[in-house]
Amino acid sequence: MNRLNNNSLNKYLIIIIPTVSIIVTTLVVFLVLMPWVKDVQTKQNEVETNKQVINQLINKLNILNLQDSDKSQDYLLDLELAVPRYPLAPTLMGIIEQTVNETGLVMSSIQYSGIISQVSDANTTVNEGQNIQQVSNTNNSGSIAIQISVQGDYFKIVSLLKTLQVTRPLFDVTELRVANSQENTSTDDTTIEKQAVFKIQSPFYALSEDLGSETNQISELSKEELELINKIQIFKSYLSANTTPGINEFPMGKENPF
Amino acid sequence: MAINLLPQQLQIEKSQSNRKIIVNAISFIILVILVVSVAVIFSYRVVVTRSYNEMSTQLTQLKKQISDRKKEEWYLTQIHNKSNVINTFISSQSEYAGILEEIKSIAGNTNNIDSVQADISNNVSLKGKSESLLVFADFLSRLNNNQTLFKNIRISKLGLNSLNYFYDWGINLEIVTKEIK
Repeated sequence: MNRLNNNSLNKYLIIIIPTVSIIVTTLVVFLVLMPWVKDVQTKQNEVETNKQVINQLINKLNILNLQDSDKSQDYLLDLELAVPRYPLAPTLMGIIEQTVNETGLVMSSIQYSGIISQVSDANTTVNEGQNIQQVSNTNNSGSIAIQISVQGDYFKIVSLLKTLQVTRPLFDVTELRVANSQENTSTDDTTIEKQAVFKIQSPFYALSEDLGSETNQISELSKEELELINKIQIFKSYLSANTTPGINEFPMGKENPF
Repeated sequence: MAINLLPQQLQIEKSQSNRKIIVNAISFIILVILVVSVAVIFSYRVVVTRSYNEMSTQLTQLKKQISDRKKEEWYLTQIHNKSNVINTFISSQSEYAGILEEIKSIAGNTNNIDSVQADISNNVSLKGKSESLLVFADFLSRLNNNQTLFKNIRISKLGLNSLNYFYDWGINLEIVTKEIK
């Protein structure tokens, strides 16, 4: 009888230990090891990604540490004088008028022709009379179109075109029509009075206050950009920092987007 | 052939005992492997987690440092943006002053230019008068030779004006656009 009991106990013992072993192994593998392995994989991936991000951030920080904010502000001021952040049509028309007078030409007419938007896919001219402020809210860049009509001799007209090319804010004569004011029979057409009509554009570009994420890359000012700033600096400027709204201010306080 | 003289019951017990030893050994080995795996993965996880935490801390510190230099970043970004706008604008700026001067210099004193019209597509229309056809032909050939500035030169009108005995002419041409750098 005892022998029979021992035999059945032995049979159970043979089954129990492997069964417990299999259950424990299964539980540990599924409930402990697999989550750990997943966690390690995720963290390893993040560590790899973070390594790259850290390198980028260190690089960015090094660039930012090299910047002199006063100098940068001066550079930006120079560029703002060339391309204002708002479409200031009356100011631009005043500058054109002044340039025409300084050249010795007589202004027959000056007409604001609207804003040519560069945000939309096609050039859209906003009709005269529409609210400029409203336009600038929807378009952060574009050009103001102005048409002028002047009278004077050939050399003065050429001189005006040359001056407009080296003036801040920047101007581009997109269309021109030059014709004699009266019938000319003289052999020297440079001395006779001419009537010229120019279509002029002047760009504006609003400054974005949103810099996006800290991980956004930034580069130092390139040689070309510094050359451009130097080139712009010698352009004749009719605007002062005071007449360019907000140029001296970095957004602070409630308006500070950061 | 070997003959087992042990009683059959003993043989069964012995065989069961052997099987039990093998099964237990296998179970033990599996448990040992399990423990070792847990230990190794746990240690590795600790190392990776430590590295991960260090990186996260470093990242947070760097982000804060960059956030402290937002002013410089803002200026730099705006300078880049404005420079791009200015560069594009200057690259596409028309040079009508130079073109008018060039046309006048080519025309000389013997060809009078009465009107010049240029549009945004760089098409130029000239109207004027010349003392003779030879003078006009010379003007036209000099325009044709200046291929760095003008192309597609076509006569739109040419005839003798009986009132002043000058030859009235019209020319259409295209300005060669400079490449945007």
